Amino acid sequence: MACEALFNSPCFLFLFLPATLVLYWAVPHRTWKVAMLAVSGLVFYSFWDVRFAGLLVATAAVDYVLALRIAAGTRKKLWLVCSVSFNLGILAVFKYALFALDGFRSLFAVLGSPIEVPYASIVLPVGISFFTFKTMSYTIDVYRGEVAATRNFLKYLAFVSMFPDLVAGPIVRYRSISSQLDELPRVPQPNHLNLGLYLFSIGLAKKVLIADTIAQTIDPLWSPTATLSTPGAWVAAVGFSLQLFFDFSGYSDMALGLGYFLGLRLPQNFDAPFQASSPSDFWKRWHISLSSWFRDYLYIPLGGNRRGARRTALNLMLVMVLAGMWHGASWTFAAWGAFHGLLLLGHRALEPQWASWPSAVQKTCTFFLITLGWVLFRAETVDHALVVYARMLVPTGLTEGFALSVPVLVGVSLLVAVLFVGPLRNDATLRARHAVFAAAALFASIVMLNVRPSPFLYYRF
Amino acid sequence: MHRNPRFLRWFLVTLVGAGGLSATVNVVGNPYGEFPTDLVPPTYENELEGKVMRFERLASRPDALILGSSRSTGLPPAALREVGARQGFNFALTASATARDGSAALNWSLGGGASVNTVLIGVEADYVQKFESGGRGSRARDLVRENLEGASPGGTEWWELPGKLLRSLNVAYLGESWTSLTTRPKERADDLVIEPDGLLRHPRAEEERAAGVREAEGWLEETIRFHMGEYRNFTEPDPVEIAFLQDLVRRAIAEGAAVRIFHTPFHPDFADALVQEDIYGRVHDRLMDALLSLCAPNVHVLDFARPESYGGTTDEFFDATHTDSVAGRKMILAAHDASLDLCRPDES
Repeated sequence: MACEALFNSPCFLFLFLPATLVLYWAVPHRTWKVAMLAVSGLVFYSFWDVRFAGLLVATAAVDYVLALRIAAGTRKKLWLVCSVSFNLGILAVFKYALFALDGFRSLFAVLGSPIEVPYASIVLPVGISFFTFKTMSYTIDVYRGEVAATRNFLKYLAFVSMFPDLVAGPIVRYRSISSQLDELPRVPQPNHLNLGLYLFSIGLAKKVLIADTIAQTIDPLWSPTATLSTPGAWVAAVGFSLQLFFDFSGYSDMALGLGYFLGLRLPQNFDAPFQASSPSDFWKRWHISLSSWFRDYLYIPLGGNRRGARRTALNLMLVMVLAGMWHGASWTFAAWGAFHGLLLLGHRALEPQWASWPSAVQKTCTFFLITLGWVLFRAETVDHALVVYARMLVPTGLTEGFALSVPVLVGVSLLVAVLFVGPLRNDATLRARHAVFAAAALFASIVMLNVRPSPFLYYRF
Repeated sequence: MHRNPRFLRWFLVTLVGAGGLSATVNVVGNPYGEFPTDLVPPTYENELEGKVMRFERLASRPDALILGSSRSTGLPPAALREVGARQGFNFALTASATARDGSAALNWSLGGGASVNTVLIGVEADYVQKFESGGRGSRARDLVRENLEGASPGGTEWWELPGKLLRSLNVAYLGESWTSLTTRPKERADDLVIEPDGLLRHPRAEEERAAGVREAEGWLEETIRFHMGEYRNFTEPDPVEIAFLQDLVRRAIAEGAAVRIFHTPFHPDFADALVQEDIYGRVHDRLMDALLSLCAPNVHVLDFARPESYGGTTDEFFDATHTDSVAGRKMILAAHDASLDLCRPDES
């Protein structure tokens, strides 16, 4: 059984996870549990590429040392700049270098003096955007005095490398996990076990039963060579927004569930985003750990909305473009971020009128605007996105080359997303019907598991 | 947050219940004959076990082997006596067998004491095509490989049962089990008989054909449609499967055997449909090019894609690609006709 760093792989489900949990709960001392957390995370990451487990340890070590320097109080700002530069440097090298080189090539070609820039191949470490943002938030929080720098490297390494959130979030902050690591229960707590089983099962079902099924039906529509009609383009766009939601929120649920298995409470990453009543409400419900990261560490330090309308607009646009680029080095992600920046600005300008509309109209408008944005997120290139937009917005006929089952599937998934999917509150009471539903979902997912599991969409970020 | 021991209890009861129910369906349905239950005949008779058992029961080890996919399972080993063989055995395998399975069958046979002088291999595009795991016949193919490439074949040992049960917990297997449970046993029992020399017979299909009702059931049209759907995606032989075919031929030659490889026949209507859609070249010509590259001393390549090439008729087809033992006998005899050997066109 080949092992992959995927929660939906047979190796993870039937080998890595049971073995890790047995060992984790078998060791009595908290220090050993913390060590188990760190080691199991590195082993999990090694399933993807053992070389980059070293990068993970190096990142953790550098920020651990720099945080201690910051906490020492002398040249705090310098050490913070070093930490942020180091983390952004890693991202620049692994994630954005090739994009920048391409940009240079294109720029000089347009200027009429093409330059010879060597073509290179750089492997993008899985989850790099997540773990660098985790470590950056730690040193910034230490600088701000919001959390004490730890002298326990093992504990810090466990925070960085713990496998539930390692490769696709949620972006956990040290200040929310530190005390939990200090107070790890010696034995599994029944309520944690229940919540873990429920969330993990539902998350796996979201991924395997819904997201992967939608992907199979709409992927052909997203081929750059596909000829779409107007209904087909809308089905593709709505289908992708649902695929992404079920895929990513499924992953996040599984991560939360795994956290509970380990006695940790990780932050919610989704809060029924299909019920958002405005673009700004959407960002309070979608990928919450990322949007709050940008809010706390970039938007507010830039002045947020406290320095006048023009500066607020500039801040919003800058933050949203960078949030878009966080997802990948591509013009489509930059355009997606800018699109959301414009949505937020538009909503701010029209807020009084928007608020006067009936709730259902607000939600429907938000859904369609967000769906338009996902076209940029999913398209191979900006040109491809423009083709899809043209098909969506300029009627080209009602005949379509896909089966009726495709829009039916997308429609049913939309209903499920709108009506039934919401966050599980920490004080939720899980009843017998929840248990039956979760166990049935888990069993159905296992029966449907492919020998070759499909990776989660957010793994590439 | 409330502690709720009932949650875990209900969770486990549901999970174990669903697993137990599914496992029961699979064990009782037993579509591949993997489990030691004989409550209903398997959908796929465990042809491998059946053939292995008959191979082991032969009075003397065979000196001639027939390999290939289901399209070669109707070649009667008895006809090999007419061309000088003492004891023939048909080790062609169904469930989308490929060259890899043929290679495994040859190796197993040689390991089982066969000393072969003749190896006949029926080949078509499917035999050298890469089938994705989970596709048609996937589990049956896996069984062939597990058994022939691994330990000696035979019945299921008790310690193998948990692994088999776990592997059977997937949607494709459950579907097969359901089919097995909901199909009338009589229909299946009469549909497949393995003769002592490995020849596969389909008594029900033979009866239907004799009564003239088989064609009325649309078997030809249905199978043409099925194969056309598959062949539209066929581009060229899979290099890995071709390598297995090369290994198979090398191993047979090393044993001192003469190897006769032939393209299995298409029903003329099927061949016409392939020509009409302009894919005959892909599924036939490219394969023949690959087969001709195997020409060597003691290797003979023949093209029986058209029934007239071996003196066959359309009456001898069950469907678009499968022929009866009458056609099989003709092919065996024609395979020994030097004038049809494409490796040595000068001798014709």
